[in-house]
Amino acid sequence: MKALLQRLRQLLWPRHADTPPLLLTQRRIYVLPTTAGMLYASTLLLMLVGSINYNLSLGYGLTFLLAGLGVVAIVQTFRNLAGLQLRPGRHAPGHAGETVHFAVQLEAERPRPALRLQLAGGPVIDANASDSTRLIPLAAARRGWQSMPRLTISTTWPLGLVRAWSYARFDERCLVYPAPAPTAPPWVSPGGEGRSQQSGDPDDFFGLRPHRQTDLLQHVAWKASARLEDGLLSKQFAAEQGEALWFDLTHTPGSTLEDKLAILTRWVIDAHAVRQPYGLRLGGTRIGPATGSDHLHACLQALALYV
Amino acid sequence: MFKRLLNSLLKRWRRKPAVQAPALTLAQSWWLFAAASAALLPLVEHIPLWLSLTAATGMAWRAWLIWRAGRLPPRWLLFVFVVAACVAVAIQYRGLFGRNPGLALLVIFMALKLLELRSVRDGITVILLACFLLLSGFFFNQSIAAALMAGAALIVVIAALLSLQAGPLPTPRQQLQHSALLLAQALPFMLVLFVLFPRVQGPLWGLPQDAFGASSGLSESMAPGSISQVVQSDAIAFRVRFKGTPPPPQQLYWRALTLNDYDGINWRYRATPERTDLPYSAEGRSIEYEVTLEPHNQRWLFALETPGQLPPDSSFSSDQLILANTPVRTRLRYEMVSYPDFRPDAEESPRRLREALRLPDGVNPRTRAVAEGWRQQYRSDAEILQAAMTFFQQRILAYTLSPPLMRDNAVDAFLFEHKRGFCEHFASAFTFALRAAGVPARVVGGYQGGEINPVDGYFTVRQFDAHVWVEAWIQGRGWVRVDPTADSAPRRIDGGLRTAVTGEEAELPLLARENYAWLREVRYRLDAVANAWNQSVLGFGPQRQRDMLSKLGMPEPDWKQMTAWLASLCGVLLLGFTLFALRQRVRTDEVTRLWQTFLRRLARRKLDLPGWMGPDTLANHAAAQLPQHAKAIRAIAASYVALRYEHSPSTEQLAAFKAHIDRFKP
Repeated sequence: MKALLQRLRQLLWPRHADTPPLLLTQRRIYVLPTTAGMLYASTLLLMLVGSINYNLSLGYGLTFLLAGLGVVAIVQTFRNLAGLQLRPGRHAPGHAGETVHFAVQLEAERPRPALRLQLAGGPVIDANASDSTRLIPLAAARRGWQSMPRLTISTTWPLGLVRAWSYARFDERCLVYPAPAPTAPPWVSPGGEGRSQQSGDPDDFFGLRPHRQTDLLQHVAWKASARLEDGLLSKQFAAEQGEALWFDLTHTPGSTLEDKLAILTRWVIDAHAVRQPYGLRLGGTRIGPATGSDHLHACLQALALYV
Repeated sequence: MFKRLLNSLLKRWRRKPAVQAPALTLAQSWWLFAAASAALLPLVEHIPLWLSLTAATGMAWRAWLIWRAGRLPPRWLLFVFVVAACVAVAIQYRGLFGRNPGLALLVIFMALKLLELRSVRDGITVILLACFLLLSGFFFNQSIAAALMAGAALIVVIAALLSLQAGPLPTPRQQLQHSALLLAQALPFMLVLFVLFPRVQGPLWGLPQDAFGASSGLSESMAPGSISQVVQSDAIAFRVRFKGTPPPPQQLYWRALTLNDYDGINWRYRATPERTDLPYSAEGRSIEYEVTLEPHNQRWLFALETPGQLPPDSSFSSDQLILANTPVRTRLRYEMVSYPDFRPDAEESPRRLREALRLPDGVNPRTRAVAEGWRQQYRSDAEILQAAMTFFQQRILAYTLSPPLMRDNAVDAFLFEHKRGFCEHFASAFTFALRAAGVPARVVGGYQGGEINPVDGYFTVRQFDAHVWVEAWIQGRGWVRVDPTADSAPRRIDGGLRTAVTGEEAELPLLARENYAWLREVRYRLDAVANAWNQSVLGFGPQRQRDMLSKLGMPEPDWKQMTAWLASLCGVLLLGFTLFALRQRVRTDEVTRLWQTFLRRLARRKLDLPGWMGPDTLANHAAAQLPQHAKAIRAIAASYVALRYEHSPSTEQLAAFKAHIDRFKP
């Protein structure tokens, strides 16, 4: 008996992950009436009582036709999911406090209109099988790996009277980068006290800092500022043109590790925004100076996963 | 300060609810509008004009709002409308409960619901209201045409329901097609449910008085002119199917009620004690037949003389009437056997006989004088009856559809002045004369004759076959049927109304006229179709269901068996339907199939290859993980890309691709 229950539980709520591609079969698809379906059923019941009471033969006919339509709705809604194949796609990382997007590919040999996708705890998005890859947003709380929560795929198409749904648990994960600090102190090279921010050659980029009213307008980093909620950033300029910056965790201001990582993240992003070559030193990890988005993502990944 | 407070209050008041149901799109609004119109339209001829106009105003307003994308009226205004409409309905129907006021309220709610159509949920309400309205249309009309109209309306309603689902945006035509397709899929379920759902004879509770409209036909009293009014109608009274050859027309006296009480003008029905079985057991030659009675809102059932059995739920009265336990308000079918040669025991209570002699004083003195003459001249009642018949023949009375108005001393006026009358004049005068002569007599009402429909063999008795005749009590013989009309207008009995009334064609119902043969031919056919519809669809009640199921080989069908069969048949249907729906025709071409073979072979090696990769990326990843096969993998990917994306790949390329994959066995 206990074994049977165990088996039943496993059948209903399997704990292991699904191996992609996941084919939605009748064993995985659940069907229940929606609120509208319940209302519909109660209306039919009233109509049946009316037909009996007034001996309306055609009333019986209409009621039974609508009841048949309810059954058809069950099968059609179920059919809208059955045979659909799900496959995880290329997830889009994001910063902590923002959203990451898990990608799912929907494949079907016939059109599947009005599908709804939802990650546990996330918003519902509409989809249909003809747009093959859907990005499903999920709020990311902390940096590091975010594993993919259970995915619910559901539909009420065509009549909205019943809802068919199925779950997919993919063993997938998506990277959450640290949240960049809203403002960061300018980078100061260790041991280079002489190269203070005031003494730099105004032509060389040095770093970014919050805009002050006294700053020249042409020193405002417009692109970088545009990504801030409010306020402006001003460019600071380093002494030596083209020289790569080395961001080092050990020389980053900040009281906690997370604060330091947030500031490093901000520096990395800002440097990327103005195409300044930069390198990153995180404890034992060392990423040589370079530019470009691959480099940016490599640095952000290192920051996300640093322990 | 005050201004700020007001502002904050206003802001709070205007704040939208946290979770807002999805708003309706323009297309959805139009669909719901169409659904409401489709449901309301068939009702227009059955509801008061002001109600139709109110609904039409609401609809027009809504259409205007959709057209101009205007704002919906505020809730309080609608509330005012609802209250006003309820009051109007209450005044019109003197109450809010019952079938007709209920329907009126539904119509109003529908029109007003359209004016507060905001979200998908409101849309569902409109759809369900529309379904209800379609059902209520059947209160008034259940003809084939009504069924077809309701079917068409239902397609629109379901199309509106479909439109509420966010999905691809089909054209209205596609939407209607989809709706019709879904309904067509529901048809088999409907048929199974219709046949096998255990039927209950309604009503489940007492029905309000207005549930049944006025029915034409005989009534419980007969005033001069009342029958000639009935025969103006060619509506069907009932249909009969004889098992075997139908009896000749002069034997077809469909007895319904007796009229015993006479006040000088009117003859009235008087209820007599009833019993639930027949006081005799009839024997002799029998006629078996089945009667399908149109609802007449009266208790009496029609049968030929002398009934040999009682239909279910009916009783037998002392004056040999068959009375249903409740007024017949739906089409009723019953089996009957009659024994035309059998006369029940010649016993009658003295009280009944006394009643059959009662006459008001001081009316029709001339007839009374003649009758009293017979009493002195003849000794037996039989001889008096004979004398009365002879007297009537000698008067040379004319049978006419438009008799002159005879009010006071109507019998005298008929027999001695005008000498023209319809069957009620004949029967009334004859009964009066017999009673005056001391022979117990009564007027009997019913139908006489009928017409066989050559298309389906049913005998149709229409309102214009309504007839009254006389029964006289002759000691030793019992109640004897006498038809005074038959003596004056024998063709009325042999050939029906149209042959008996000559030169009055224009006053006859169309169908009763002789020279409209082609019209009757058409009508026969339409009638046969309508009858088949009535018999098999509208008349499909508990009894018919049992009969049909026993014929199908279900012995003693009861609700348990029916439910079991219903469940299993629905299950089989559902299974078949599901299999049909899931039958997936995966039409993959050869290139895709070969590529998938390649992917399966790679998968066997348990490589790390994310599913989103395109062929080139995949080949690079795979080649890196299987260096010994790198060349083959790249070649396969390259020819796949070529076959897939080149403008016109050659057959050689496909053959090479196939050869590569056949050789690829990592």
